[in-house]
Amino acid sequence: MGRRRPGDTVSPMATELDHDRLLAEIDTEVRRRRTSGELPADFERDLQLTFARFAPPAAVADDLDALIDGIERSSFIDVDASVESAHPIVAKAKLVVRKAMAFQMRHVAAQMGGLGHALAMALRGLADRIERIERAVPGLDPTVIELATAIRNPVQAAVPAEMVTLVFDGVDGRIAHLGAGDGSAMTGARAAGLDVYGIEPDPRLVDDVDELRVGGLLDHLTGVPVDALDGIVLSAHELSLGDHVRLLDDALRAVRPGGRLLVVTVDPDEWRAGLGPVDRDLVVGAPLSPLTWKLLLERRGCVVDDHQVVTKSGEHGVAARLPEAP
Amino acid sequence: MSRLDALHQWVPSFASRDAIGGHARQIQKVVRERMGLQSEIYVVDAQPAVRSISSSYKKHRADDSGRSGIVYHLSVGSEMAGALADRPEPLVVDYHNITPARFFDAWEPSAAYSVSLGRRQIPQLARRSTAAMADSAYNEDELVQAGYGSTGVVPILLDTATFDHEVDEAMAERLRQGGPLWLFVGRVTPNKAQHEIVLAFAAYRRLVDPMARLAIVGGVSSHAYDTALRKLVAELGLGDAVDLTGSVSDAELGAWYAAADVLVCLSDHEGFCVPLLEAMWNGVPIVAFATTAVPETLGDGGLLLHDKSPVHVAVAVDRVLRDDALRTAMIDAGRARIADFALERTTEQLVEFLTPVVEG
Repeated sequence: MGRRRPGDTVSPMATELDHDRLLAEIDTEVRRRRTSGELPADFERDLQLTFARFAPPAAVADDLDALIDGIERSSFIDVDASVESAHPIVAKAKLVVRKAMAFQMRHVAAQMGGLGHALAMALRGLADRIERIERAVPGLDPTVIELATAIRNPVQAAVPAEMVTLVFDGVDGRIAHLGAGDGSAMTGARAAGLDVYGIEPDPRLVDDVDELRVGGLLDHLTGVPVDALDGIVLSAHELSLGDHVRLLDDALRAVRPGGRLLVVTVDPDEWRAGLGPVDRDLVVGAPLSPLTWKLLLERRGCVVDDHQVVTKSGEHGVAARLPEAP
Repeated sequence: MSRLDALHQWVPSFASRDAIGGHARQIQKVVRERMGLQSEIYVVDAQPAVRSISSSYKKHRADDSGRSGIVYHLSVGSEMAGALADRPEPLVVDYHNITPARFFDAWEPSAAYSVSLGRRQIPQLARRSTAAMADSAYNEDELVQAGYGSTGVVPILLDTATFDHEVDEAMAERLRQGGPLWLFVGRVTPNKAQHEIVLAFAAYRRLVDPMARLAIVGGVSSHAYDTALRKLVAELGLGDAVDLTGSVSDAELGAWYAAADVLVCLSDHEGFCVPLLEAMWNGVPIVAFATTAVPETLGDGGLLLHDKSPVHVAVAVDRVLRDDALRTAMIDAGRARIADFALERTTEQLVEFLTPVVEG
């Protein structure tokens, strides 16, 4: 393995690195190694579990069962502190202190252990209930979500850039497009001079486009300061009713008073009818009708434009202005 | 705003050897010598070695003449942010990223509180700032999301001459004896995911070379995480192969770089990652997980992985260590990449960014 000295200059004969090819070769080798039988079946999982044993329960919180196991393990409190020392006299002194305090420590430890055990039991009960709820609600069932993600084709709302430029005409500030798909509407609006960025939750739709990022829509809005935006375009169709409303409320919080909001939606029945049979079975969530959006916006004090833009392909643009600051 | 006569810096924690401390000193030099302005460094805390070149920010008298500005280094939650809100001077925020609290919640609740405070201060300072610069486009993106208007990227100002550590040659020679040496350099803290390096290293020892060694070099920021890491090493039977060095001197760090065969970085969150540049400078090939600002800092100067499962990392490192042509190409690519961070170049970026602020 040849080494270089610090600060050496670059060799003009250096081999060009082909990262994509290199990564593909590594992937192939990884697959070969994993299937060659040279490693125990659960080798990598066992490694992760080994670390989980030493991590605080909350550090493995993405696995609820492991979290509860961790809490149960933590419920055992070892009251026998180490008495090791380089000096025999110190070790002896520590032992005396440990013995003298043992009954008191055990009394406290028993109560704390009992609390931990009771918490673990309560969490197990909650975990069971959550699992039952997940199974009863398709949109929450991890199995359904995984299946839908694997099988369904990505579907994006068809948002014309002209609709965005029309509604936000004259807006100088920052505008977010949530559910931006492949970013075509955003790119068109940017070309027309609007300062738009896009967030799209489905990574399959997102290519390398300026100002377009993959991210959860609610997660994104959580990080946007109050009144930071001049406007928002909402065009995510496949959300539950609760998530549509949460997204709207978070959007209203992120847009300044007097700012603009554009909701692009379609008739839910027509939208569902337009899906293929597999997508229709697996879809979780649906768009809300333009009338529902109008009602939701008005109940939050927004002034909805009288004129709704409707495209030939059936997208409705429900535009509104947020109330001015009191 | 008229042209500034002075541009001072506020640094919450001023250290002699860390990247932000060095960056602040370089900025001071550029502002004084290149831009001809007065420039002092004001701090909350300073290490003894740099106390003589800094003062308490409480001694910095407010100047409402419009001729004095402040650069605030935002990297932790600090009382300075509150104090800045009431100051009249134009403010430039220099954002070095604040690790999200979720990395500390389970391990160090007090640290989680501190970083949460810091992250809340990011948008609070947006309204107050004239301009904001960031070490990386990744960090700049966070500024934009937080509502900052005028932003730009100015990488950490590093004098690569400082990478030319005096090497403890006897130590380096000793370290060169034995199997391949994996190296990680950075604080021991959950977001740097050193445990995943240990897991990948265990896989490498099993699959490739049972004589391999790993050094995790850096001081401890999370004792809970450090304890778990040490228990993991012991449980996997790697006690003789893994060295958790703690904080080391420059000469010792030089020895580790001189002896290392590969730098492995599997961090979950990095705002810049200076050790990548140190490794490039020292001719150590890099295998790193592509996350946050790592791809931007590394550029084409190393191998970026999108999967950090133990076997994947082990196979990637094996490939780098076995393939001499690849190693040479990676080392050369690292050298080419570090030229992008040459002090002359980053100084120009800084001057270009600050000039409109200074000239009003």
